[in-house]
Amino acid sequence: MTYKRSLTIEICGSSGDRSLAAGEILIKTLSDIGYHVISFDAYPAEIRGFGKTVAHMRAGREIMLSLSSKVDILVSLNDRYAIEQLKNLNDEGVVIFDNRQRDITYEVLQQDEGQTDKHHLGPGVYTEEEGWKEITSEQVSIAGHLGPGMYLYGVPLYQLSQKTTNESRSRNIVVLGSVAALFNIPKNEFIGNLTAKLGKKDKSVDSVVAAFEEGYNYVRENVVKLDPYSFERLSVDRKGYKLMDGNKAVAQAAIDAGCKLYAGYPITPATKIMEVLFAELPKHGGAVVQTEDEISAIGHVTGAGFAGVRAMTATSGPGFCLMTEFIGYNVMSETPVVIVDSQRGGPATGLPTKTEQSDLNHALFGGNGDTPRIVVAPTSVKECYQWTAEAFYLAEKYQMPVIVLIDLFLSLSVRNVQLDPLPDYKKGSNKLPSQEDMKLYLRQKITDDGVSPRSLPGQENGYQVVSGLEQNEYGTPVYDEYSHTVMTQKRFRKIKTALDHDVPSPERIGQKGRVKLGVISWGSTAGAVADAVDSVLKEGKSVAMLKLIVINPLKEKEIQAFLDDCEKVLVPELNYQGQFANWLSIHFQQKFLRFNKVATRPITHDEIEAEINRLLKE
Amino acid sequence: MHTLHGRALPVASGAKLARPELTVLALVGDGDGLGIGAGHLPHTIRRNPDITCVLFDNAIYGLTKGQTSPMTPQHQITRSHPMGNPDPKMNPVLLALSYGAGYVARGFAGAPDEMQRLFEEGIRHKGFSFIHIMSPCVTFDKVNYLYDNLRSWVRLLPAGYDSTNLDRAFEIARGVELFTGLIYSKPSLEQGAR
Amino acid sequence: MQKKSLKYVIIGDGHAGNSAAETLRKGSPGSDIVIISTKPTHYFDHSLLATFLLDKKDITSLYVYPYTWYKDNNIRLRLNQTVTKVIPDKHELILSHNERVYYDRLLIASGAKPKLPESLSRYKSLLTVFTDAVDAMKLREKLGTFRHVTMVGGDCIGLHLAGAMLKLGKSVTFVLNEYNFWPLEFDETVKDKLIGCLKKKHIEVIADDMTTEIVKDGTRLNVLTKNGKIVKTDLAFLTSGMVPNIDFLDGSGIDVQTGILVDEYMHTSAQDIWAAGECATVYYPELKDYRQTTGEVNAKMLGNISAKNMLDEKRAVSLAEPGKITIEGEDFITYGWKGFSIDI
Ligand SMILES: Cc1cc2nc3c(=O)[nH]c(=O)nc-3n(C[C@H](O)[C@H](O)[C@H](O)COP(=O)(O)OP(=O)(O)OC[C@H]3O[C@@H](n4cnc5c(N)ncnc54)[C@H](O)[C@@H]3O)c2cc1C
Ligand SMILES: Cc1ncc(C[n+]2csc(CCOP(=O)(O)OP(=O)(O)O)c2C)c(N)n1
Ligand SMILES: [Mg+2]
Repeated sequence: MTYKRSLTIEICGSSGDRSLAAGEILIKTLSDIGYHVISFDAYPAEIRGFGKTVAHMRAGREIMLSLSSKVDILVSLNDRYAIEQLKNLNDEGVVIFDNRQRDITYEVLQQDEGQTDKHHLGPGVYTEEEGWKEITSEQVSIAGHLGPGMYLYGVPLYQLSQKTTNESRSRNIVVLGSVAALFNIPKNEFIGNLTAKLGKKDKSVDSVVAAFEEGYNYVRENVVKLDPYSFERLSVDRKGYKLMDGNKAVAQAAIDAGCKLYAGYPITPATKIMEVLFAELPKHGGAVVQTEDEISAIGHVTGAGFAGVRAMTATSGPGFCLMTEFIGYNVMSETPVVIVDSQRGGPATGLPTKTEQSDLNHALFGGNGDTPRIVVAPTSVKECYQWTAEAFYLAEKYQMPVIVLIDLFLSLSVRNVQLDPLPDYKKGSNKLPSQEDMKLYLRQKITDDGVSPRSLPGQENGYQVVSGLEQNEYGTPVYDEYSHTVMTQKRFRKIKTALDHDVPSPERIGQKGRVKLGVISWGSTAGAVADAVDSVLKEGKSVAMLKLIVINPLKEKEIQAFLDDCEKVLVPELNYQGQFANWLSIHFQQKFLRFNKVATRPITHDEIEAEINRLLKE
Repeated sequence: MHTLHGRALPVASGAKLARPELTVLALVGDGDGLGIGAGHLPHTIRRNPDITCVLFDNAIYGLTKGQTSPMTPQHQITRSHPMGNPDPKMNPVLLALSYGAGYVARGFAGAPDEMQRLFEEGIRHKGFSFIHIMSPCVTFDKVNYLYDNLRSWVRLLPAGYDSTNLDRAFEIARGVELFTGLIYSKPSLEQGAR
Repeated sequence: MQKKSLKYVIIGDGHAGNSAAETLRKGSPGSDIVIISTKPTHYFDHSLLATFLLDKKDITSLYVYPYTWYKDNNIRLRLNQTVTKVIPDKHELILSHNERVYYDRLLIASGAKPKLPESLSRYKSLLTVFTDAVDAMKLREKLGTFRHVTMVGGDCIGLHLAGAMLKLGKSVTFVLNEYNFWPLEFDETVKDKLIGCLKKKHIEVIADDMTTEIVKDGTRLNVLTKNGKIVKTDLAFLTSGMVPNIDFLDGSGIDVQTGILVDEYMHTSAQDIWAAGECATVYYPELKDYRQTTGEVNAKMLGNISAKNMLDEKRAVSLAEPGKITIEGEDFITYGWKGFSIDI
């Protein structure tokens, strides 16, 4: 790549054009030749609308944790939809389009745009040589919509697809060939990935490879490349890397951390976690249940936790709300459960297919009573793996609910990651009763660290009663001032113990010592902040960031030390109220500058960069 | 009004209580009415508000793209059960009868005239009416509720069928044949809705 | 000033097209202006092509305007797109990717392409053309691979190119045919003077002859002439003058001869269609006759005049000032070309 730190590519089509499949092959190939990649596709929200589908990916030499606002290369498999994407294309971006397409949009235009100019739509032209030819109109051909600095390359995708595979559905493959030729992407890797993807199930592999070659050769022979973009093979080995999204990482972590029961109810964007586990967990001796609702899902998980088994459920906002009563129950009954909440736009059913970070309040505060719980929020796909695994460890060790807050962006964006193996000691963390304890077993025994030894059901002499009622050490329901006070203290003491023993100091990135601007961030937005800080540091700016993964409990001393180093502190996040900034404000005197968006898409690194630069100038 | 997933019945009941002069329908899905919202069904039937509940059953979770629903047949492969659904499906008509619903019918999306008739009767029925509609999901169900399949499965109720006979209704509901039409309707004297 | 806002479409992103666009924009701030061009490159200055070969500058150094100029002037640029048909009755153009484009008023400024003499058409693939930025880019990439070049025919483009070749240390042969140094004012005395000057520059000139055959000889070429001469060379450039680029008007009903026939107001025989620049054959009241036009000066002037007429400001053409081309201190007259010198 000669021109920029990273390039963003979009392949845009309608749902039948198989643009997502093309995108998958493309990022796999870019990853194989040494690039860091991150992809985040957009597809029709309602299955009913067979609408716009966009494979969106960013690739670069350095690690990237966020998306860019601008696209550099736009591949159009459907001009009408791609025209809408032009607004995101950088002023010197590239457009690749089908310059011999059959007009499929002609009737549609007449139907759903009502008023159409009779000049722009007509029956087509008839010539002796070519017969009846349908013609696209100006509104629906992308060729007339580019900015003056953009590069337009036409490839006869439809014709080449017909020629090689006898059908128009391979336009997505032809265009991959063209992309390879235009941007110097090594051909062999591409073809390898192509055949691997189609391979076994498709007898027509040869004709598909031919489609790719046609697209490649057409560009080599006919297109004059003027744009500056190119990928060449990098001399880095990414063999140990796997392409996966956050959902997959969460599911993998559950398997590797020894989760033995998953219960869930379908909900976007968390459903995939259940689907992966349905296929994989039974192979590892675990069970998966699809329940009738989320109350039942967390009920199942609670039962499994009580039985001494690691268990998890995953959901999104509306389902998370249904689980609320059980969160309190798990606190009261001291039952370990792991709840993954993949946040989407809210409130209520909200924006099922759009990302947001607005469940933080609910994760921290949801429920009645004084309800301590551990809340962790991974910032990348890799951390989705690490911290889901960690959640099992913490839940079991501290006998309480641990909430893993991710979001739709993390759930669905695919990246190439190398997962570190989990340390063995984290695989079993029950505090089991000693022989001494078993003489007179107290399930809710008051201890210094707040954690009571836990007998597991069926253990001899380990008789216990747990419930959602306040209790004394024996587990007998009691409602007196003394018991409620010491028991509440005990439950909060566990959080303190966890803080001292198991919560790492938040990572500080950027300039050491005093800085003009500090940025504190959480969740997937921290990825954008990391990318932005990285690039402003290269410009020599005085900036540092603190990345918080454990949101409750907070490492107050370390955070205070960071605040003391900063002239100003910015807290960007993807919600309207500044839920995280509010949370910090409870704990620190600092005035936090906020940067809030409800953008329905992830915050991009360039938006953060612009905000950092603005604040530095002020 | 689109309520929350599973919560149409309580919301519809509330609307009817607040404005009795309104005609109120609660349209629910199979996942919706028999899964997440199933707990509301017996109690709505017990309270017998004058509303009509239509359960659009496509035997799949359509909106979330094809997971098993409470109406998915046992062993069917779905997105969430790649090895096949381990559990048998539910029987909504039998459920509604057992809970004591005063109007219970079944229709098929491929027979719109009959559906229309059932809707009209159901709305006219004083008290809670329950209509189970089998309605293919053409996107995510490629094996079970196909129009062709359903067309060959459904049967019209036998000639002279007496829809006020509860015992017959139970027989019909328990049987393996998929009868469509008005399966049970409480004689009007006993209707007395709130 | 136009009352109604019209859609002006211009075929051609050269001197004529761009000066017309500029004039149209000034005269009609609210109208739609679209330029369509086959070339993937932007509007560039042809007279810089030779020096482009001599340095390492980016192709954008040839561009007359930065692309932001089009943005600022709200002119829509459609590069890398070819018009294949004009349908005057419907006010429509058809583009090669099967798109129809509507216009209210159309300017055809499609320029010219190298003339390929009938007798040489079989050797097309062995001939190199040098007419635009992409040709220059490709030639620059292979500068290291040749030492001797032959100009097949003599025209000003050949002279322009020869100047650069000499500076690059290449040797040059001209094989002149009947298209002698298009478009110079030319007669026998001028011819002798010109050949003399070229020879002083150590350019070999084979005059009063013509290329009949080109044969591959390993990696090199043999250029054979009517008089039996064989020129061993590395590259044979087609420099036999230019002909208007008007093939796409076939069947449109627009009157053409060598170029598109326009009256003194640059209007063609079809309603709402004008033509300007090297593609046009223009009626000059001064001459009481038609003349094929060429050169940057002409193209700009004619583009501007046609735009005025498209804006309903009636404006008739007049002949351009002559320009001169300088070789070894001697000047040669050309009409419409902005002059150049191949002396250092
Ligand atoms: C190497 C070289 C050097 C020169 N040096 C000089 C010089 O020093 N001084 C001088 O005065 N003159 C010079 N000229 C001549 C001068 O450049 C031309 O006379 C002048 O460019 C003509 O301008 P124009 O606008 O008519 O056409 P052009 O500049 O040729 O533009 C024609 C445009 O039409 C477009 N086009 C053609 N057909 C189609 C179609 N079917 N669909 C869409 N678009 C189409 C092309 O893409 C192009 O943009 C030189 C020419 C060359 C080739
Ligand atoms: C509390 C909650 N959990 C999960 C969801 C996600 N969700 C939306 S619709 C649906 C299933 C719909 O199935 P069904 O009721 O059969 O209707 P269909 O889409 O098949 O018509 C689910 C799980 C939600 N909206 N709210
Ligand atoms: Mg359903």
